[in-house]
Amino acid sequence: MHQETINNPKKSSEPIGLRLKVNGQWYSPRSAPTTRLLDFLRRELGLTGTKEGCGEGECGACLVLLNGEIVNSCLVLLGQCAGQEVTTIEGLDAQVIQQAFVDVGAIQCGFCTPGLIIATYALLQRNPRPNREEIQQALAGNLCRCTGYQKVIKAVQVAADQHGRG
Amino acid sequence: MQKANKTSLQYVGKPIARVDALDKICGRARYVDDLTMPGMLYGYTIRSTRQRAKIISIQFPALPADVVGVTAKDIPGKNYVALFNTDQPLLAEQVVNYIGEPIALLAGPDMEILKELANQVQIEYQEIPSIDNLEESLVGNKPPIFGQDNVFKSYAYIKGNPAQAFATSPTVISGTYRTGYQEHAYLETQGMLAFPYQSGVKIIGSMQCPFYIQKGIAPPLNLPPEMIVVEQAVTGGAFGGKEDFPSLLAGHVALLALKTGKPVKMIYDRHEDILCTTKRHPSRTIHRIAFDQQKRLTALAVDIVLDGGAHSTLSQVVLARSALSAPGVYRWANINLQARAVATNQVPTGAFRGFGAPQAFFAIEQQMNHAAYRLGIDPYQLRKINLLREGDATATGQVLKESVGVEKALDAVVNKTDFVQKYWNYRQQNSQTGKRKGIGLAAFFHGCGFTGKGEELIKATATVDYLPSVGLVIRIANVEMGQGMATVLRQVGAEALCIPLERTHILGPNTAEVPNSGPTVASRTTMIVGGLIYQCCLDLKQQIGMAAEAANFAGVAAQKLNPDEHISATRHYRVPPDVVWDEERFVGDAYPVYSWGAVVVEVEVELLTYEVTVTKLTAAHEIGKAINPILVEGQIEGGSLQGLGYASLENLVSHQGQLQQVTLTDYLIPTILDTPEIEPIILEEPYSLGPYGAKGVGEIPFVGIAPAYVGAVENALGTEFFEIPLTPEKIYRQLHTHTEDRS
Repeated sequence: MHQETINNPKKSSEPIGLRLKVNGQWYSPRSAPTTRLLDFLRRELGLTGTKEGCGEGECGACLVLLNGEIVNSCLVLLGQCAGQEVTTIEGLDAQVIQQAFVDVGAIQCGFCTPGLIIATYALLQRNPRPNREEIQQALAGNLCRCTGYQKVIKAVQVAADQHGRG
Repeated sequence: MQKANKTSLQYVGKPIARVDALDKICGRARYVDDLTMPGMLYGYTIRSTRQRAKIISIQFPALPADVVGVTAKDIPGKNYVALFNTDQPLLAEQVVNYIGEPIALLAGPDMEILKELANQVQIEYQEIPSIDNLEESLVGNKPPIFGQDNVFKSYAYIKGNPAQAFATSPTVISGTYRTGYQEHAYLETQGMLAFPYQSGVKIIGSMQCPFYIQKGIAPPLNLPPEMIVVEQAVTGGAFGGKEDFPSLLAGHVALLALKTGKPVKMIYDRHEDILCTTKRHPSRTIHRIAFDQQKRLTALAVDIVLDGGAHSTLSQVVLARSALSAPGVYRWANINLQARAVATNQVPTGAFRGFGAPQAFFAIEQQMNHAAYRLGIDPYQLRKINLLREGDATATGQVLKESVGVEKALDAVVNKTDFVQKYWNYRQQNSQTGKRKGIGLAAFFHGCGFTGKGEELIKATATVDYLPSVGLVIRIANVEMGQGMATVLRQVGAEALCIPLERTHILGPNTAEVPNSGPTVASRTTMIVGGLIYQCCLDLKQQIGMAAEAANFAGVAAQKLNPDEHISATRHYRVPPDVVWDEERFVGDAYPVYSWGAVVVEVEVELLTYEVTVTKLTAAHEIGKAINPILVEGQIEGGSLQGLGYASLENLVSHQGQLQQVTLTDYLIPTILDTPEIEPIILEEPYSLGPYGAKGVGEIPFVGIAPAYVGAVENALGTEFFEIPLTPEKIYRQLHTHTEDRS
């Protein structure tokens, strides 16, 4: 089976008109400015690591970074991203976090996992040594129905320790 | 089956990282909505807006050339989805029986246009008096939905002389217990993709049971089952919600794909998923238990009613598990049991982790909590007096011959939490402001594998191939849905052949390529299918002249086989000869074996708002053998929190057939802020017929959480509760309508 195909989005080196940078690359979207950022990423760019869990900003499966800040991409329109920089799970450099999630067993069905990785990345960027409560606050917008969150919390702690050492 | 020497194990019992972790962590795993095909259309469902009505007419608007609409008239075969019964139509034809029942389908290239067109479809209805809930269903003053009496299934049996036992016992405890709906809320909503394939159709989607779909939709599509090829995509959680429901959805996309000749994908949004997919059965249980002077249980009388919704789906087997769980983990000489699943004009209820057991254990374990209070004994001691032990017989007369870990589990959680001391301390609290603490206990089992004759009927088959160039290829129909099946069964294969884990493979479930090893349900995959794989591996050893315990399989195989040669072994599950179940009389061995558990929940209750904070949850589960302890912990932690949601938070109610909470904004599931510290305790009493002693673990962590939670709130507040979810509103209402405080 094929993955979501990339429908020849135009690439260019300079932003002109409605353009946005996704994972380091500038694009001129074919999609209308009223398209949800989530749909643009998934359907036009084929970046299907960003998931739709609820479509109303409750679950966090569609989290991406917009200029380094987490947003629910189901609540952001493409037009709001003009000239801005989006980072998805595919473009995230978060190996330490990802490895911690694998090692402690914080993944089950995996559907919420990209969103959790993004949220963890944003947390550790601004707070490299979060305590348990800070971790819970930072990930409160990410629903997971499989893990009971115990190992998610542990994974963030392990990743923070690794970051600290690095 | 061989009980391997612990020190010799290389893979089994090791916390090996999930084999699917890397794809999931990078966003590379392909769930069904991540798939697309050239020329693919989207599908959309037009649903009933009436709770119960005759369909007088269905009028489509003028459809654009690239949009196709279908109704029941377009179904080439018989209009039902085959399961135990044939009462669930693929598309409603003459009547609708619940709000959200599918009536017509649209397929086209643009989803937004489909939604606009769907709004313009005119359906004329004629209302029929609807049956709103299980009480109304039992009254029987409205036209029945199912059969003559609205009862999908009933079980009843009498053991000993319960009437006499109740009459002569000094203490009788009574209660009527109610449990609500629960929505699975898997993070990935239901979705399917279908396209014309060879001379039939191929379906790819999110599911637990590929062969259920094949069998379920062969009658409506009027195709031989083998012409319907079903393949599982990466599945984003299921919990039972993707056991039976996907057959209906698969039937819809297949119908559209065959009608249009094109690939059609249908993905439910969250609102549609909550509105019209199956739920946990609401229940009402009328319960009486009696004790003698020594606080020994003498008699049980229980009447369980499950609300099955508008169609029978899996209700009969859910009900069987309720009935078998109703007596709890105790010895009984006298029982009067009745259990019924009834029809209502509500969304059909179906499989959900625990499968009828959580409702039954809520009732019996609350009865034990209430009995302990009234008898002036702690809930631990009362359970110890009455507990099933090895050699005892269950309510149905099954002698427990081995692997009975309930007392170990009970002792473990009680000792770990200092339960007895805290229980009595908290009983002394009399503050009227601020917070009070509470602690609650429950003990329970979960029968592993299908109930009764289920495994005998399904005759699970597994095949393994060994190719020197590739390694071990496991061919089964079971699915990875997050629980860790793919990792655990490869560990079993790697251990049995003493080959590296990387040299084991599981062929992605596809009905054209794997035998039917049965559905991925009933906590059966590790024990039943893992057992078959283990036996197949021993067969492979025998084929190349090796003893079962010999280690160097790869070396011997390399000598005896050409590089492109392969050997193969197939095993069919046979119910052990001493496991005998009489479905009619409800007597005998209901399950091959049981997993056992006990849980302690500790809470703080804020006395002004009645907000309850769970401060600690300690769960001990005796599961035979943990093939992969880190994955077992994951099941315990996840199941426990899902159980806490069920007990405390997840409020889903229907008003005149309309579910009142249909988004994740108003149907609340636990977030990371709601999770307490959960301490999993894994206990192992090996089962002689399980692979390396393993039993099941998928469901049991959920089963006993609710009574432990409610017991803790009772311990804090000194009152009795009978209903879940026990929300702060319900606590308030009860405390302010019942003036009598039991303390």
